[in-house]
Amino acid sequence: MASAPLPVVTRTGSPIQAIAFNGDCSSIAVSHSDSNDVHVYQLSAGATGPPSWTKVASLDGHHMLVSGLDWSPRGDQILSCSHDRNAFVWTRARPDGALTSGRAAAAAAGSGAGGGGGAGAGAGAGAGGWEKQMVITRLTKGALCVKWSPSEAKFAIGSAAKVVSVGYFDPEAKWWACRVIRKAHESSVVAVAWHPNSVILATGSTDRRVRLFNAYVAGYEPEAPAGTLPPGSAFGECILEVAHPECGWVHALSWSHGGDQALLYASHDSVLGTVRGPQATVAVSLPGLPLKQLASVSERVAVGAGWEGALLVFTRRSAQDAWQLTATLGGGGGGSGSGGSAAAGGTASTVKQLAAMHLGGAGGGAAGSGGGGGTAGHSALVTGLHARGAATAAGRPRWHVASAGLDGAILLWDLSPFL
Amino acid sequence: MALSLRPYTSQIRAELDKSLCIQPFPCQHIERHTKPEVEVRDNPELLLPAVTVKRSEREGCLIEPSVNSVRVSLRVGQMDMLEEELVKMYLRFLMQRAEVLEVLRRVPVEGYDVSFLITDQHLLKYGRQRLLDFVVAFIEELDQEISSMKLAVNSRGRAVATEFLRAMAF
Repeated sequence: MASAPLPVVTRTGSPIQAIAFNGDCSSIAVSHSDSNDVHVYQLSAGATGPPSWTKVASLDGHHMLVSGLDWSPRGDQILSCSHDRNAFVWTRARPDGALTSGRAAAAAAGSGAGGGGGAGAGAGAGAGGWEKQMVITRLTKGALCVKWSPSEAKFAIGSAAKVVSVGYFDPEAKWWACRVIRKAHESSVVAVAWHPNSVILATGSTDRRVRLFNAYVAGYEPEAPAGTLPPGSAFGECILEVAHPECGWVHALSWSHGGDQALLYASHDSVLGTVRGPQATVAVSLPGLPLKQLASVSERVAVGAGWEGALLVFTRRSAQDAWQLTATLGGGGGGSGSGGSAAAGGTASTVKQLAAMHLGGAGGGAAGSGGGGGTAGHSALVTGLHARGAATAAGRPRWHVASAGLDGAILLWDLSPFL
Repeated sequence: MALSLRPYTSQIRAELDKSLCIQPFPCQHIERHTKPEVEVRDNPELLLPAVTVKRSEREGCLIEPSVNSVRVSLRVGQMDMLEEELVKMYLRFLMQRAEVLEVLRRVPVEGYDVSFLITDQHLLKYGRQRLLDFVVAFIEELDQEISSMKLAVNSRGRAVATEFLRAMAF
């Protein structure tokens, strides 16, 4: 197989827990494991040389680890959720102090009344021109993942409370309200993905099953296209509950591009599975560690990454064919050999070695250990994957997929040999 | 000794590598808390089947993975009473200093001599490779340390007895 060019690497210095790209991929929102703020970086790409990211804003509002981020491409709103059960919608404030949309302005007023606290114009200025709107999530435990629907009118939040909240802007109360899908999951919901029609919501849970839900919020959205939902089903109804035999925890979901309406999922037993119709099948059984993230790049290409730190490229010839593992890019990231000195212990006592490990680890840890190695992938768990839309992929630097990991690196991959 | 130890430690390393696929995962029962699921054991679906690696009848390693933590327990081979006593004293010394080592558990799991609890925070701080190296190095060092201590006790005992008997024999 043709070899792909090496990825463009940017190191942020602290582990990345979640990442989101804006519509034209010129900005990113990043949540670091060691901070409760969301940082917004802007790409300053010169004509030559590597791209650099400049921090433009720090969104302060969460009190615990920010576990999920999503950036709506057209509405330009950032959605963040955290283990402290809260979620916020961040809207770019205009220079004159007003918000970018009337809907958002109304929401800000609503969130102030709803206990948002400090959601006024002053707070927006402090956050580098971003206005915070609280979401009434109605969650009782931490939120784990968020996703805007393709229509950008609503979003889904998966939670450790074994429920999913579907948020929408309530025009009467003027805040982001949520409807909760209860009593369907037996464990935490760790992944959500919207069907392109914005009506069906797929969830992946640590109870080892993939589910499809009717997430049509009646009375708020335009009428759902005929035939997308089973007749007589209401909001929150589980349409499908499925898994392959001996499935592990489901870690990631992605609807494949193209007209085949198939859902890709990654599970802890190192499997890439597909849900097509009412069945889940094992598409690829991986040789190594499980995947944590999945992204569909085009009709024929999907990528996944996980604890190994490598980027796995899956391809198929057409929408009817089965997926195949075509390439593993940047493999062997784990073999950094940073701990070699510890293994080659001679006469030193265990206590001394343990202390050495302790002291040595205080500096860099996972963030520093993989630096400068000959390997191109991540040296720790990959926590974010973003596939760039075909329309924007032409700009400089050329890349199709971005990945971010707990090693603090952001890698931009050029996948042109596979497309 | 070192030769027979290698397959054992490499097996442990392989199993632990698979188990160390852990992530931050908040508690499903108490809000704003994160607990090591392998210790709390409230959610059977968040635990994976435990793996035992045995070197001999008496020496083995138990690896219990879960969604956000892994517990590694070691049983050290004890051939005789002297070794038993040495292992007990040595590990007690270490476990009393568990706060320095972070991953060490203060009390071992029932039926084992020493236990480690590795959480996603440790993985983040130290990295997968260093944790694997640490566990393997710990096993190797413990083996060496105990046998050298045993030799030292024996030779010291012999020297003391020789001196004592020499004094007796005028």
